[in-house]
Amino acid sequence: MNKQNINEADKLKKYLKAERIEKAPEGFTYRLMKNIQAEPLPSRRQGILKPPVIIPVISFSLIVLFLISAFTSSSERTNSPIQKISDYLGSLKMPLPEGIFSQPGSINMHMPDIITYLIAAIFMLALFDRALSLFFRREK
Amino acid sequence: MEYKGDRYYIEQVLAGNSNSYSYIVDRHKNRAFNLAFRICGNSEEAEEIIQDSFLKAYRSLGSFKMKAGFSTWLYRIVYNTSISQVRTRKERVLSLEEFPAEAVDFAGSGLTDEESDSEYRNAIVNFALQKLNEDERGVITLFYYEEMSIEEIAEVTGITKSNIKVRLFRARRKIQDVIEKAEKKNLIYHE
Repeated sequence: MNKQNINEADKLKKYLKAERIEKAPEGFTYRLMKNIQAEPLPSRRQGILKPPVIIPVISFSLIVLFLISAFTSSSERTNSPIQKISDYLGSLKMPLPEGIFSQPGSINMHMPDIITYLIAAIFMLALFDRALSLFFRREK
Repeated sequence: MEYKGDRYYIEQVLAGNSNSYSYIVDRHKNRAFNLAFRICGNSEEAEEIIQDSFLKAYRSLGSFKMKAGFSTWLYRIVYNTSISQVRTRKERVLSLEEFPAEAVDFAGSGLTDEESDSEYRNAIVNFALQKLNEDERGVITLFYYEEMSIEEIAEVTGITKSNIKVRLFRARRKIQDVIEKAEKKNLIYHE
């Protein structure tokens, strides 16, 4: 800081003194408290889980739910939404790019069932995450 | 009576004793008023702003995180309320010609030389602050009057640290400019 800057800062401090505080008008507390008495009592926000804890708990529960449903018997899950998503994903037959995988002797890959469930789970979790982050940002 | 700390009185209010809020109000009203007054430049409006801010704080006491500082939380409410209040009204544009030279001539009003000097400087500062935009007024008030650090100001205003430094620099320049012009005008007035 050069000499001129120091002089300018000192001059400014002389004008903007911390002790020069504008005080609230007389009787302010009394008038405010009259309004406060008319208000309902504030209460602690009830909830077993606080917002930062909710997101990982919900995510973990969803993952567990998806994994359990993936291992349950096929007869129980034929009409479940998860099964429908999984069936849809399984029915998608996208041609592989020519020249990369269509070489003679390329590996014939088979996607196990669990992978389709995981893809569906990741997709749904991404949607949940987006929805929850929007919700909590708005609340904040 | 010794003040037992914000946390104690907040707990009292949450336990059902709303009168305990008056201790919190008494403790913070002047600083809150000063911040609102410096941003809006009008005592009636500043009183309305802090009334509104204390009410908002009271309604949200249940969600206040005890780990955080109450004053920072309250200042954030006062700052945001003041800024939105100023933005909704039509800004009054001041010119230096409007500077109330008579109003700063405090000599002979029963004040000591030191007191009249202080009154004079305060009048110039209030005038200079009205030349700044509302964000700059808030930043200057928090830095000089509340003696907050750049980090604390960032917490209250939600502005990044680098932006606060830029705003402080610009605001200082503008205030200095007004002070110099006002002092020159005042010298001419008294000649």
